[in-house]
Amino acid sequence: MTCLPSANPAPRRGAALIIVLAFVVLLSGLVVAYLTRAGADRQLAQASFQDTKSDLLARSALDIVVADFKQEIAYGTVVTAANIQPRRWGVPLAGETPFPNLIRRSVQGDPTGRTSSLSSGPAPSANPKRGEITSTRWNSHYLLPRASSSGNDSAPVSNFAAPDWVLVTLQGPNSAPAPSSVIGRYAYAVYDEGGLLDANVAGFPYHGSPSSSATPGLPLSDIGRKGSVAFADLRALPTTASGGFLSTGGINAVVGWRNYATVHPYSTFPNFTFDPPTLAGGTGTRFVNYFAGNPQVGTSHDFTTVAATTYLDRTDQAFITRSELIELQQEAGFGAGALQHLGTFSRERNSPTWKAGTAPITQRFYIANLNLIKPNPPLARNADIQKYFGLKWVDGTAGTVSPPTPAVPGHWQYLGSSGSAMQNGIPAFTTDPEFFQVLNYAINRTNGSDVAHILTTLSLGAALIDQYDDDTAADPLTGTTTTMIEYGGGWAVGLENTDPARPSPSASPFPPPAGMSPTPPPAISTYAMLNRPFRNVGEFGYAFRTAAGPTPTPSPNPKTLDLFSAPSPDAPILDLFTYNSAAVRSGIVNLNTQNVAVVTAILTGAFQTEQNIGPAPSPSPVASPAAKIAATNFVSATMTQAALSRAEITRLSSVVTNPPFTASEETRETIARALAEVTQTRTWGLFVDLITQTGRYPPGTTNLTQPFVVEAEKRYWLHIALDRLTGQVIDQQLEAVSE
Amino acid sequence: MLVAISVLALLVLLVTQLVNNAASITTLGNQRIDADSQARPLFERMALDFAHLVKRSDVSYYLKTAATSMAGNDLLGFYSAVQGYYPTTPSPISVIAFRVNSDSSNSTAHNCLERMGKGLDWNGASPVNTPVVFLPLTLHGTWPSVTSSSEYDDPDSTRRTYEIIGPQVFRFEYYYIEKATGHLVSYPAAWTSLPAVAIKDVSAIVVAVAVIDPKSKVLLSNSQIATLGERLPDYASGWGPGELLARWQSALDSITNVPRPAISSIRLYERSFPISDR
Repeated sequence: MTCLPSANPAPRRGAALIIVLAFVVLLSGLVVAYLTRAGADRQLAQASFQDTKSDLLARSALDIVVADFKQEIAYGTVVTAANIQPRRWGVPLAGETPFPNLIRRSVQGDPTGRTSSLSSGPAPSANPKRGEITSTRWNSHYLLPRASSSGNDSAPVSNFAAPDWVLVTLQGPNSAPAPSSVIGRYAYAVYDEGGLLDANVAGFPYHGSPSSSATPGLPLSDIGRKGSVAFADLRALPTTASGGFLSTGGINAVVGWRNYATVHPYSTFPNFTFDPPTLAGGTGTRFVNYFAGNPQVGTSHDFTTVAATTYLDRTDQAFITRSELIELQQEAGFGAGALQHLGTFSRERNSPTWKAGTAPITQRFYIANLNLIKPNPPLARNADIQKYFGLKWVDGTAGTVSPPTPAVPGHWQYLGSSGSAMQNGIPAFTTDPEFFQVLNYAINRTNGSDVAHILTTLSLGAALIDQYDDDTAADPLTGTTTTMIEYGGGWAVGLENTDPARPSPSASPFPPPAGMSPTPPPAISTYAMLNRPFRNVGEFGYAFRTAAGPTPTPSPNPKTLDLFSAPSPDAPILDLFTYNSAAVRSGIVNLNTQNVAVVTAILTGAFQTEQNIGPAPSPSPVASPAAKIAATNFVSATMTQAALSRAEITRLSSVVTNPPFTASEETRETIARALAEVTQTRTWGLFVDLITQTGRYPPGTTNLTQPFVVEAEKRYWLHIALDRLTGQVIDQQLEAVSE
Repeated sequence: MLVAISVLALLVLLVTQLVNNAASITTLGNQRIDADSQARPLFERMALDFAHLVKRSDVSYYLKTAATSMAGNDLLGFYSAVQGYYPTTPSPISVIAFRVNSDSSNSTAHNCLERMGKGLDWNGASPVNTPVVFLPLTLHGTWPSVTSSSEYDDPDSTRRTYEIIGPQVFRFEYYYIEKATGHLVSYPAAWTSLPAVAIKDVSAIVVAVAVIDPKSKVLLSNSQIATLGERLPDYASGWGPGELLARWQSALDSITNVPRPAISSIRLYERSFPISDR
């Protein structure tokens, strides 16, 4: 029998095929869907990985940049004018628009030897490609001069060249690696943030509507006596190259926002207004109390933290990042050009850099200690008086008529900080010197035992005490207001213009034949008396400085401390005393700053003389144009020869030759009074702007100029304060930049 | 014919098995991807928040200390220079807080990880909206919701600044790497209370989370998830690296009164966020 073929065998075989195919399709769909999802997940993971890699590269690069500075410090153990400041490179050539804040940028051929010839900037500049950093981005911190005079465009002036890339391989940075070995790159620029005014401290409020006629919201005398960058006049900060300046409205926005709980502004941000300066207990009083201390004898605020004051459930504020300052500027609407002169991070180790002999002085002498020295002090104060001044109070004796024994006024005996017998010389010291030891160290350059200069040193100290205390600080027995110090070999006396115990012109309360011994020296009409606490060490310049030997009659032209001439023997005093007792503090400006506007703002409003007190002082406080001329000469002198310490303020003052600074010794010392407390040379305040990119060159790339495939990018702004003498990091703050 | 049908049946069986197994594998894979894609953006967000953490001695933090030991799910609150929600005149600073919502009446957020990103106004810009406050005013005194696992920052639900950032994250724990010793600790010894917190005492915050994928989550009730979270122990000082997750896994393995497929799909993650000196 023959089997007939099936009527429809093909469809049966087809069914099986279809079933199998359906399963295959299902399986494939399943696998494809899974693989697609897994692929997307992998890409996300890869992006996350690249981001982390880029972050690690950025932190490593920052370590390298900072290590270069530390290395520079380590190599320059002998600090000279040539190396007190960090080396600059990649800065404009002479004749080009200068970048006062720029210290260095990564540039081919720089001393690190790591930088490639590849610019981070776009080529051509008008058509930036992925991974290229425009100069506008490089200046998004506004620390370079802007090309534009309006708006918030951060594009810098045309002579700014973008930093060059440092190419990184697995073995580290390499200036010319094989393209296949490159795993990332970074470029950086470093700025002198220490040379800027710290916006967390600088500037004071204005009363009245925001206009050029607005008046300061605090007494002119507080501004004029300086002692803190809070009293810098920010109206002197240019916002454009063509003559625009920071508005009082902008300043009020910053100050009202920053010191809200301290000063109690009216209205709302950014349109704050403030009390008139004459209002007792108003804005001005609260502001001055915070920045100059209350009472105004000194302060221990380091200004690295905000005041612990609350008002309407609000507190004061601090700029936590530079980005915050930039955002505030844009919110408040003041000129973006002012940002070139403002920083948000500054630190200073409050230690002198000037030294002589073998004294390792680690802390400046706190001027407020002078407030301890009052005649006939309470017993509880004696220990501190001896510790800080080496003095002990001795009550006066009335004397007798027969036999004639002179009355001895209540006076001080100089025992030294730990002795019990009167000293016949200034004792040697190694650490923690008392007041007279510091004075002697400054003017006689020795920390050894010094018998030769005890009279001049004690006399100078007594004169400083008499300048500091008021006319009511008197010996209860004789009424003398003049400070008298007995030492093992004689007496040293200060100088007061008002002393009821003075024999002339009025009758002495202790007439001959017994009389009084010693007697106050004669008054001098031209001797400017402060009779108030010093606001800064520059005011030491008011104190009478006797010559060696017996106290001469100072009239008619009293010689006071010289804090204005280049060869001044008294200059080190400026570096050895401070109004602020904080060991590390904010708001202190690099004395060697190249930013003229910063020095101008500090000088503007300074009192030329002690007499010009009142709402309309005469002579008027230093005006901004005069301050700018002085600041220009001053900065030019530091650029020629950097200052090693605040002592060199006298040298730098001597190059200022424009009025009103040249009228007298007192007006010449305006610069020392304005700058001595608010400047420093010891700390490098650096702002590192660093951009890193991880990625690779495509396979087969033979030339580094070909496009680099960027996989992730990071930008950081590192604010760091380095101690030039020790290389120690005083403080630092890393700011992740979101763009 | 019979042979052909048998072969076809066998083939279908084989392919079905193949598809089933492939489906199981891809399901497991998908569950892992689900959990990964839950944890990754969470950690990325946290990394961003921690990278911009405001590290100052004059601002307060709401962190684990001896006085705020936080049994079970932890609470975390700090200021960060990131954008937040609903400021009127936005400053760059926001209040950031993380928590697992414990409010069983909250059907949306219960057992979910929430992030508060409250954008702050500029100081003095508004008599109503509070800006960043410095000490002596505290973060938790000014924004009490950071101390709560259920309360919100605003009664108006349209102005709340909490968002669910981890809908499948039901356990949230953190501990520190102490800078002075390099040890892993629940909290540094000096942190006896919130005022004693000095953020520079720690070199990193280590965050651990337990994630259950959406498919497995539907197998469990909210109370079962909450119970699961409670079974995962708090970090205790002295535990070594990875030990917390090992103990969590061990705790999960010992659970018998919850569907096994749900338990087995729980993923545990940990990430360390450096708090640099800078």
